[in-house]
Amino acid sequence: MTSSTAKRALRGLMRAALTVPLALPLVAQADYAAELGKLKSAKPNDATLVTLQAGLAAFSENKMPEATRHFDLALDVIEGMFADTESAAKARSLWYAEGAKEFKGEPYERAMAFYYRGLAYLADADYENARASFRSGLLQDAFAEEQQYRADFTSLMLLEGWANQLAGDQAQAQDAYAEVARAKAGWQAPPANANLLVVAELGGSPRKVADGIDNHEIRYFKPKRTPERQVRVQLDGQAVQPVLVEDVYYQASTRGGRAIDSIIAGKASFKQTTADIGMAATNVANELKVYAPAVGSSGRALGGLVAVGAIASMISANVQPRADVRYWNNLPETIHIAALNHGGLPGNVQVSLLDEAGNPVAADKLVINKWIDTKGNMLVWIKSRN
Amino acid sequence: MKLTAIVALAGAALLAGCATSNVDNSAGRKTVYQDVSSQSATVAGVGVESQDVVSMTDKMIRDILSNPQIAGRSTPARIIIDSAYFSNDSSSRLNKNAITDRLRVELNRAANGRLVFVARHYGDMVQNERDAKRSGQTDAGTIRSTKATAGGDFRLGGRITSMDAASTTSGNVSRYHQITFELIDLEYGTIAWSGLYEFKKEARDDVIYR
Repeated sequence: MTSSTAKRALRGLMRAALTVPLALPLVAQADYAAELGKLKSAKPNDATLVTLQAGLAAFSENKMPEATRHFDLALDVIEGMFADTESAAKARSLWYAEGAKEFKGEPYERAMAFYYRGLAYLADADYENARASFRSGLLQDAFAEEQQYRADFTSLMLLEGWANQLAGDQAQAQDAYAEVARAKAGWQAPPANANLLVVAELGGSPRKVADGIDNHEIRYFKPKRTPERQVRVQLDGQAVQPVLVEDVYYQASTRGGRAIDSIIAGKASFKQTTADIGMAATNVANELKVYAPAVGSSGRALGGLVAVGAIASMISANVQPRADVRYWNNLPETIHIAALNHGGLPGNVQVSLLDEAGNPVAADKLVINKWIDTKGNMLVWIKSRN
Repeated sequence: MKLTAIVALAGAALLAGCATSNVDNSAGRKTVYQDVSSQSATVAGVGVESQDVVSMTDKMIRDILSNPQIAGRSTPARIIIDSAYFSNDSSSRLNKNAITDRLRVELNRAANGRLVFVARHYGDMVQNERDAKRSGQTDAGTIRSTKATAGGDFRLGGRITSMDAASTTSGNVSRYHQITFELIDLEYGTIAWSGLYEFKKEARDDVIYR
């Protein structure tokens, strides 16, 4: 067997292995029990973050009552206004890192919380609240600092249109679809008789990493080792090609600066300045100690200088300019959506994942959930990773 | 003297350094009842809240009862109030039944017989019992038998809409809600009564979340 023949055979085997029929056991792919355990031991300031992660894990395991409860709790915090709280005051102060604040997430994380709650409403045939969720998610995206990236969360626009379509409001559905088409050239709106939505989430979460002096900056990185870029789906033998409508990493990394960034930069600058003063005072005192006998300098004055240096150094050591790099770690990197008409809930769903070049790639833990609501509309939800 | 001051300062700085624990050791708070018609002091957003539900339904009740076409008829009008035709077209996730249930219950109490309320949302329950009575599964009860259940004269329709605005420079968020209530003549298809409730809320999150 030549090398190319072997590669072809291996590719064929991989393709066969990666086409996962729904009949295979797909439960327990996302570890809801572990997330629940984390939730029980989470610090109060991290509770919303862990709740979001638990909500998505429950969603992956098709535990919808638990998922909706978690997302509702998290959205209560996200939608609430923290006008005057102790944790907010701490996070602003010199002596606490930004992570002392209660987690509400960056705009892309808040938008994704509304996205999942909206999907849960769709599965429950509550199209009006689904629409409200997707709209609220879009409002979160409006907080991007950079004008050109504001309210460009295409998946939420599309889903708002879908919720309108299912609710029978064709005019508003067309408005939303027109917005999607403006954002994504060549995109085709769902057919008027569509009753099934396929949502495929690929890749892993965008990562926040602390950078800069004393880690006072946030930098976003793509997830590691997540090569899947395209998805092909077969519903009872019918081929469906979900289209890329959202790049969550792009949403995370194009948000622009935050108001808090200048406060944190101020803390970092203060820390640096006090450290410099401390160092300079100590150095001067050390130098003077050498010449003190010659010039008759007082030991008390030198001691004072040392103390000033020590105080400045202590203050500097206690300033906490570190940026908040907590992030929602089970989000996807991209979202792909297709809508079609289908006679009943598909019994056999097969999924193939492909990389940028179209080669098959392995899924970490492929999840396929499907729901048919009381009005006969359907949702097939696919996630390639935990 | 100078040395004393320096030592004091150093001590203060040391104490400040020690006080950097992240543990929230504040005391808990026992459960307290809050007034449903006033704004929460601790939790608030720009969506529909309890005080809005109370205010809007109270206003609609007063308005409906002062309308002679609805509440001033010699034979009390039959009215259906539920959420079947009351839609949420806003950005606020909410349970519409919280509004329509309060409207129906409080209107029923205040009308004191001037209106008759048809329980269309309990339709299955009524039909099941009627079937059981007529099939002999149960006896006929003690009130009466009617050929059919009550038909409605008027039914509630309405819509909740909203408009959002957000400023990225100031972090201000505002949401305007407009809630329409209408009673539809179920024979003629006209709108016998309309009511409107609107409010706008504005808030600004702490700078650390902007």
